[in-house]
Amino acid sequence: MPQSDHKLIEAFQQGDEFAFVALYNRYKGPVYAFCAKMLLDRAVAQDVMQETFVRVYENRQRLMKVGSFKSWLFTIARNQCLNNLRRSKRHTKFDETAADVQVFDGETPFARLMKAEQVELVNRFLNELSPEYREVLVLREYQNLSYDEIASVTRNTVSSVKSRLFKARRKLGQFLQPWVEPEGDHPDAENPDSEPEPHHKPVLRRVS
Amino acid sequence: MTESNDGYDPMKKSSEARRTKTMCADRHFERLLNLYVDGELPSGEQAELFAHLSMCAACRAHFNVLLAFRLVSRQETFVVPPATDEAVFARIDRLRRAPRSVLHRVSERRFFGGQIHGRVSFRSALLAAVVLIVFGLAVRPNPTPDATASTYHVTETVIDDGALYIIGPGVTVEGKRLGR
Repeated sequence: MPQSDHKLIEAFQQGDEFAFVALYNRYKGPVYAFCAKMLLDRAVAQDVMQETFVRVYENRQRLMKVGSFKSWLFTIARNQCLNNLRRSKRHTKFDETAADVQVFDGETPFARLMKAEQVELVNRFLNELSPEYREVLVLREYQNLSYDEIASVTRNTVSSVKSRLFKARRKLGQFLQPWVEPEGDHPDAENPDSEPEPHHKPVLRRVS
Repeated sequence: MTESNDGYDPMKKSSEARRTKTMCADRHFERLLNLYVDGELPSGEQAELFAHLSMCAACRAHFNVLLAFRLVSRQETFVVPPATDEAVFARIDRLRRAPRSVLHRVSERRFFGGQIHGRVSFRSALLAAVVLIVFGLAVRPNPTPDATASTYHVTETVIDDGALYIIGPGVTVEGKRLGR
């Protein structure tokens, strides 16, 4: 049975290095995912993730003073990402070749290609978003954090988090709507004779 | 996803023209929809949302987008490369082996034996240095006489006749005799 974060932190503070390894193994994936979607560059995300865990190791004596290890960890990662974005002005470029999708047994190459295309489309959208909208959307959709947890990570109020998240989703709707497979009741359905626009392809629902 | 030959950019097309069509004007239902997607909408309010969804095509389309985005976000995988794991533990190992260097990190500097914790910015350090220099110049003591250099004070003295003067050896006395 996996140990709780609290017990691992206690053991880590008492000098148990294996406890740190357990915490690292538990959170390296989420932190890496968060950094990758914030920075849109997996190589840089690896560096930022590395720096995040080194800081956790250095500041281990402060661990008990914070309420939630997960929130504290994401706060460090978020600050590192924002510093990195500020330094490199990385808003305008992202790694288009880094789309890495889960492969299921029996999945056709076409389905895999469609998934990669979807990931790239989502990355294009995230690249358009400013970091303050991007962070709440990534923390909610990719990390499944609650409003309270996001507020704790971003040092904001819950109402501010909701406001930013809802606005980000509004932008998401405006951006992705043309790519979502139209249904009978899609707004375009009111003009069925119209020619489909070039590149207006419903990529987002084919592999669902 | 790439730009086509006719100069059409799918990024720019992103629904500027259809923006008004895709969004429901009622922000109340947009809020309900978001809360529902996040699992935060009380069951008592769900009926109101579903009734609206059954009538509003724009909200249904927005709902589909949110679900599609969630599907994509759940399908993307993030595997930390083994080289990154090794790099993390190598750095931590270096920290553990060289605790003195850890203390020299800016964030870990301690003053007065750890009684005062804090970071010293370059500006503060520069200001302190300037204050010390100015203070040092202000209270600078008088220069001490150099033992190797000879200093002679020439004093003109009027010597009166008739008195007794004792003059040490090696001292030359020059003066003009006053007429009486």
